[in-house]
Amino acid sequence: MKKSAMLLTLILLAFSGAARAAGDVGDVASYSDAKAEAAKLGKPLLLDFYATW
Amino acid sequence: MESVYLYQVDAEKGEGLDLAKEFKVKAYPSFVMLNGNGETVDRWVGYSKEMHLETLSSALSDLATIKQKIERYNSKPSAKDAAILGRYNSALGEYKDAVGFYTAAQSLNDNPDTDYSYEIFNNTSYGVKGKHFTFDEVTAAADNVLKSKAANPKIKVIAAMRMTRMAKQQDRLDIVEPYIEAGLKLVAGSDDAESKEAFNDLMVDKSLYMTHDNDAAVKYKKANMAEGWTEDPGQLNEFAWWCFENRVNLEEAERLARKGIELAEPGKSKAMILDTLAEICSVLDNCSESVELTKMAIKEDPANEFYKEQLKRFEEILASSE
Repeated sequence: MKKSAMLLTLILLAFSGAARAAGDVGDVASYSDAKAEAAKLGKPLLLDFYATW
Repeated sequence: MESVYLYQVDAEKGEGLDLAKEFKVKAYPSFVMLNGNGETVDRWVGYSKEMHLETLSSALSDLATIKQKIERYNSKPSAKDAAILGRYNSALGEYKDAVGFYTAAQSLNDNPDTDYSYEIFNNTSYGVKGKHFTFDEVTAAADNVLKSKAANPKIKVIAAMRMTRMAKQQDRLDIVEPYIEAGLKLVAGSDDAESKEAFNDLMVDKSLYMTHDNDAAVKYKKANMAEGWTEDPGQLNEFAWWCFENRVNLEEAERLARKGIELAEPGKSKAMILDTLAEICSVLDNCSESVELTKMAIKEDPANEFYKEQLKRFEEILASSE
């Protein structure tokens, strides 16, 4: 069986690293906390949707 | 550059499941930028560091909402807004609209260094699955990338390689030659690692589909394997599976898959290689072993329904050969 899912995860991890390099990473527990934190900092909120298999 | 507050969402777990539904996430990784009112400012899907930083910088330079951007574009069309709306629709999986906006961006664009032919090709190719575009339309879009004076050579190589892959999937190998040759011409003589990798990949395709030289295909495939691959079960599986898919070098593939099984940790990874070996054995007319190997794969990964279907298939092949 081809291991495509794992390759995708590796790409994803590399990409998330790039995302981290471009902004403050939210150390919060939920989306509503993230919205509040972004508003407090006066910054746009960037949602990074990923998946792990 | 202004920065963002980044919130990472595992779209397959917890609150991520609902958030992914709410934001209509179609692919990973997907990025959605929101303003302080929770309105979408931009969104994109992507995978390379260079592209991400460029897109992020573009998104941060214009914090108007998507709704405002659409209104702005409708009252005064510009290449910049058309490209943003193309990107937005592409991330939503609306490939037909994405192609429409990128095509508009291409015709409105007056910067000779900017080019949207790859974005048009990309979205046209994604749109084939939903039958929004035909394979011939994808071919025409790929030709425009290769003809473009402004398109980056690396992008042209990617388009050439993707066309070869797509042609294989669509059973249209009759059209691959110009793409393989164009890709090879672009990377020939380059010393950087990326170009060398692309050269080897294209030579694999040339050997398989043009010169029909299987030994050469195997040689170039091996040249692109990571260092130490013969001791890594995942890499051994990848190589063995490639041999199986292309029906080349099956004796060595069988030996290497067996080695991969010995080296693999118990569980899903071992099950995958057992399945690869089962397929190879089936092609080598040893379906009785395929049945046994698949039973072992089920033991390693009992929740995976695919292996149960595989077992049924191999048992049927075995029964019909007896």
